[in-house]
Amino acid sequence: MPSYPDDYELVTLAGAFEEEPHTLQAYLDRGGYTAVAKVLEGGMARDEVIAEVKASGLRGRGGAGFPTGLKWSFMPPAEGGQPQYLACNADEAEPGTFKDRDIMRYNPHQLVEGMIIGGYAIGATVGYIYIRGEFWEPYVRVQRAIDEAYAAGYLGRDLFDSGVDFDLHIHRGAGAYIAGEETAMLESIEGKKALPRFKPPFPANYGIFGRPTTVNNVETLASVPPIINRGGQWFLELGTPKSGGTKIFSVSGHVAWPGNYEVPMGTPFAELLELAGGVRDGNRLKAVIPGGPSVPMVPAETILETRLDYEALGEAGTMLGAGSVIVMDETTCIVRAVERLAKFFFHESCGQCTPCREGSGWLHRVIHRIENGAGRLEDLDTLLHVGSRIEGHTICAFGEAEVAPVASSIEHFREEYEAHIHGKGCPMAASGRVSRRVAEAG
Amino acid sequence: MAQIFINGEAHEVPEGQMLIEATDALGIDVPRFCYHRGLSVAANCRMCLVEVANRKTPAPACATPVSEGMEVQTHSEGALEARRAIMEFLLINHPLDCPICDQGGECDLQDFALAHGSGHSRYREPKRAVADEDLGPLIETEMTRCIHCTRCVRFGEEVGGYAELGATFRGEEMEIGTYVGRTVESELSGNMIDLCPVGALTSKPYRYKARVWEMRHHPTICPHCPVGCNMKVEEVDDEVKRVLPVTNDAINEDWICDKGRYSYEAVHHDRVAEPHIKVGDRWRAVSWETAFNAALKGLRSVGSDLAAAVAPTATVEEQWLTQHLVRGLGATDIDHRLGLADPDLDAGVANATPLLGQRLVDLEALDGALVIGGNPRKDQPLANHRLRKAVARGARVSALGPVRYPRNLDHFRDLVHGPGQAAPAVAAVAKAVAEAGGAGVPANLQGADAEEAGLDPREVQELADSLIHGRQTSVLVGTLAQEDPQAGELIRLAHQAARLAGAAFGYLAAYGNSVGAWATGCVPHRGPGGDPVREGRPAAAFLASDPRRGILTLGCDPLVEAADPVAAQAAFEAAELHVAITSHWSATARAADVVLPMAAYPENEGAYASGEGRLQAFGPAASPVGEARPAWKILRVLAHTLGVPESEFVEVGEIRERAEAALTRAGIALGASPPEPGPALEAEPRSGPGLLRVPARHIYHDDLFVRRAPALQEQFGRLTATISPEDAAERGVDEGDAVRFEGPGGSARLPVHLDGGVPPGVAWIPAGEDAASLGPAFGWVRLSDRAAGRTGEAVTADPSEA
Amino acid sequence: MELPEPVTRRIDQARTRYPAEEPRAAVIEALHAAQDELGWLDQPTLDAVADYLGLEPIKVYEAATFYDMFNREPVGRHHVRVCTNISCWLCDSDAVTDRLRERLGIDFGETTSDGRFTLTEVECLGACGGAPVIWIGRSYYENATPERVEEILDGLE
Repeated sequence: MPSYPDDYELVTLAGAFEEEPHTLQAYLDRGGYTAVAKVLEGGMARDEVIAEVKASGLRGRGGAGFPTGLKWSFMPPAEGGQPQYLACNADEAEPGTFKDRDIMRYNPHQLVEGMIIGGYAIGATVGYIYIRGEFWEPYVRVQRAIDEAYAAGYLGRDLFDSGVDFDLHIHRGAGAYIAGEETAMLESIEGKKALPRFKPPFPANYGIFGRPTTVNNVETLASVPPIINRGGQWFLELGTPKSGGTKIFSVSGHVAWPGNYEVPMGTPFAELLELAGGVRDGNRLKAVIPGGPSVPMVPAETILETRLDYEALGEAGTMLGAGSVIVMDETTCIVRAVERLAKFFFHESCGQCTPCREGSGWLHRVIHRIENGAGRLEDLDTLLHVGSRIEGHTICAFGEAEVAPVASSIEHFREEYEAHIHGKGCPMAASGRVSRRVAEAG
Repeated sequence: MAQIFINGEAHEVPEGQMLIEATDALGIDVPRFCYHRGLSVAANCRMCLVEVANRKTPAPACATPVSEGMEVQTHSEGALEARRAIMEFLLINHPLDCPICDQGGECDLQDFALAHGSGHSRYREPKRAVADEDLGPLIETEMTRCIHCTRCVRFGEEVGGYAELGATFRGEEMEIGTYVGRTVESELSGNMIDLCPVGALTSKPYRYKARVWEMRHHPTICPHCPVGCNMKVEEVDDEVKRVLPVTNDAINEDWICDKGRYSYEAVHHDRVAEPHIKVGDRWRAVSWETAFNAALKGLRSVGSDLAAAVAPTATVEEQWLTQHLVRGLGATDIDHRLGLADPDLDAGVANATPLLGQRLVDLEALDGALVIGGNPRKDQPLANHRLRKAVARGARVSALGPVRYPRNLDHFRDLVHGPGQAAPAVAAVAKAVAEAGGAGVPANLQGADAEEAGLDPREVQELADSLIHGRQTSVLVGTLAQEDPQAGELIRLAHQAARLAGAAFGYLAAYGNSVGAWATGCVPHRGPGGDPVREGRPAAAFLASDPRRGILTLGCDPLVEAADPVAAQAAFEAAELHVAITSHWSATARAADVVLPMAAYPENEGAYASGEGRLQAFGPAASPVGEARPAWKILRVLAHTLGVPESEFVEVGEIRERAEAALTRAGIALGASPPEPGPALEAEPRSGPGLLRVPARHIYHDDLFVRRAPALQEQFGRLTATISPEDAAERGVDEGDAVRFEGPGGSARLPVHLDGGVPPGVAWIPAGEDAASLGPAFGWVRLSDRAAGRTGEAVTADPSEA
Repeated sequence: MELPEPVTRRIDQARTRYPAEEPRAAVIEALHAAQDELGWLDQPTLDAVADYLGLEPIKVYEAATFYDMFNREPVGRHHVRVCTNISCWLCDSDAVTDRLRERLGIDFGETTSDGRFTLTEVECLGACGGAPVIWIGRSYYENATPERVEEILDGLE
């Protein structure tokens, strides 16, 4: 099992190693619901809450990394009687991402508390947690937490005798990656197909049912109670000056111990890899996708020199994304890996706008052809050019996402593509090395 | 206003407008597929991408609001490259079947491919193919061509008012359709064809009938309803191929209804192509000379003992000339209100010219309205569209009538009164308005009682409030109410309610030239322009118990359209002479002695006066089929030969001058208010045995021309009797059963449809061919009981069975 | 067709989470409820959901065809869904899917002739720390191997 260095502080996965950590009692024992009490009983003004979150340097943990306090400050003041909404994005469907699932399974009350505080800060009286439909256990745990919170008076009317109301509901999804895009999520909450909306208007002006809405990720919201309790400065100092706090990295693929690792922002990748037991079977690292397939992959030599924060990963030509670290060792066929990702994006494109609907299939078909020995050299330039024609032309960021693995893999591993084309097939499959675990070591 | 810079030039444009609206207004070309000014913005095709300074990526002009100082490049290399990119994506899955595609020549994709596409494709992967759905007789599908712009989907939801098409599945598999292969039933469905930027949705009746570039276009005016939609007829070699809308923002915007779009097919069906005379029981096609001689001989013989029934879809010229002929012969009985069941209307409401009382565009600015006894969705679809827009703005539009029609807009209150309680119900509304206004309840309304009329008093009160508390409100008398046996009383009470509420008063007329017919003197008590005449009797009399020796019918079919077709049959049988001037064979034509073939509207020239008081002229798009002639020429010959003075017209314009003068004298002008009806009296209910028949017509069955249009008749299916589930249960009748109805004039077997919008005690049986045998349209009918009448099996669409 | 009572009860409950004038918001939960009860969503069911919520049927069809979890064809008693996306593939989901196909004698998208099993390939299930992941009913089976496949299937009726 991985062990954390003593000075790592768990913020959102606090309690994950306890027995029954998800119950209200366990959360209270960890100091739960004291932050919301501080806000509502202590009479913190909305602006003070937002200022504290701004000071923390907390940025959206769902992938886009937008400063949370700033996002909250976009919400208009609530008009008399007209609802505003806080939506929590728990759609977690970016391949390689499984952190929100663990927060919901092990620390659901911290999410609930974060939402009450967030709702207060933005003037929302109703919250929805959009949980992907496949997640049954997390749904049950969060629903239980909500029920417990209602019973204990943390949700409902006039919380802490402050006159503040907050209702919280779960809205289950039903299997669509694009529903994780924040405006698509709004549509899905309205019972429609999860089609991203074009912006403007932004959700803060026109969100769920046309009302002002803020969408935050599970990890983002779960970070809020400790920030209120211990101060924005404390959180900021956990990480780097521009990437405050800790972050859960979901490490999957070719490591000895795949799993979630909550570490300070700015932790060197090599240290995270070590926490996860290193590359499996003593194999050599080949490439890493550090933030889920929507971000470019980087070769081993680059990532091993990189720290895990927004800025450092940006300089390395990729992005932090959702902190979904997909590790690929030397046995990996990059073309086949990208073929699978292209298939994923093809399958998940909502189909609304032209470049993505038509381009995602084109990318996949060409890569599929290359992987299966029918590639042509000019295909690589076509892929890059088609990608450039998708990027920047779509309604949402899915366009950039679907191009990322294709363009970055051709940039870094062009020779592998060429080997497929010249050899009319996958050379690694021929050598028997692709994707098969050599042996289970215990 | 904001100053923006487009391609380096400064322009003042309204702040908040979308960029594409600005470029469209300035005449700067920005291509688009999904954007349409009449629909919500989808921004999905991405074809309108332009470069905006200080933005990293191109912006869709359709979804980018202009802002002060914005710098836009619509034709920079970046913008053009974006368009090339989009065209490439759109074409990879689009079939190369332009040579067999009906959209060819008017296809946006084809045009833009020429402008922005590449000469060759580098896409070497498999193409998508999509299975087609049968959307019914009006829309042909070729969904592999679809580019997913969703214009049709948005139209259905936003303009049609009921979503039938959707985009099912996801990503590349996304499909536009109904998902289950249903017929699209919207009365506005054809507009989706116009909106479709490719050949995915095309006109089924027009399929493979012509190529766009071969056709000549002729502007025309729709004859069917009082909106007077602007349209064009397209023909090749004198053969009418299709009809399309012509944009007129004051009238029909970019739309027309399916009746206007598809009725042209009747030009080619069941036409009377030659003059005919009846010899014994047999018809003989004869020369015009022979036919004229027969008609003239008959007309001379009956002299002034003549009555004339004129179509409300005839032109003002034809109408004026018919009354000129008839009155010139000393006769007095002339009418265009064949369906009017109130014989006393003219005594009570001297002038019921059915003007809208406002402009069509004013309807969309209303914030409260009440439609009494009408179904504008089907009766005047594009007037209803204005009401829908008003509702979208927050207007409270209500309805009051004998049944609750299937609606496509959210009514504030949609009230159904008890059987026979039409007048008491309107009186109850007027009373509630008076009470809410606080000025005291007029004597005639003292006894009005909402509950007795079958209404919820609270809802009546709310409705009354909505009429009083609007800035601009209207009370509109619908088509059904105008023909009611108590039409006069309903009109007077509606007017009283309007006056008490401070609302505008108007009519939703039944036909394209009902207003013209009134103003040109095609009523028995008023001459052209309301000039005094020797008063005759209305159609309700001369097409019933009290016929004349001679009958002249022009463009109409009283044996279907009369208030009592069975009585009309007797009148025709009693008459010595019946001259039918008609474009189509019909029951009436077959009952005539002489049939004179006239031009149908696409072959005709003339003018119609619309409900809002607009006189709109049009010319012929094609020559009349066979020997048919424009009716004004036929009438001119008859009048001239019979020695009616001032009948030597050479051009239709000479007649129009007279008709136009009549319209002016009658006060017909854009937005003009209708004349005030007389004072309202105490309302009386009607009562009778059995179920009260509500004869509200079906949109595709309400004039002779549309009844001869095959695709629309397929869409219409079969005349159906709609009754309440309660009455059906009581009599053991199920949905679809063929049931024998007994009316005062006889019986008819009709398939039954059950609908909770029809209250117990009412049978909604539209006036029409299959129901003519029942007699009075507003009569009382009985359902034969299960044992006696029901066939036991569901009725299929087999018209011969009735 | 009338929706069974457990379905309407869940729909009624879902309705309370949204403003009264927004019945459409309950569509996804309504479809979940109907599918949980009936196994899959045929047209009469979709029409009944539309009718119950007062929506145009096409709006329900759109939702039912957009989201992957909704079965528009009958499925076996056990719907075996296996992730083959990147993390699972890196951890040899190929071996897992091979064994599933072999043991069940069906390919992806097929149902065994006895109606017990349907096998479906799915995208990332968000449990990549336990890749490869198999999802049956409401349960995830993590760290799947060919041997685990045998155990899992043996444990199902």
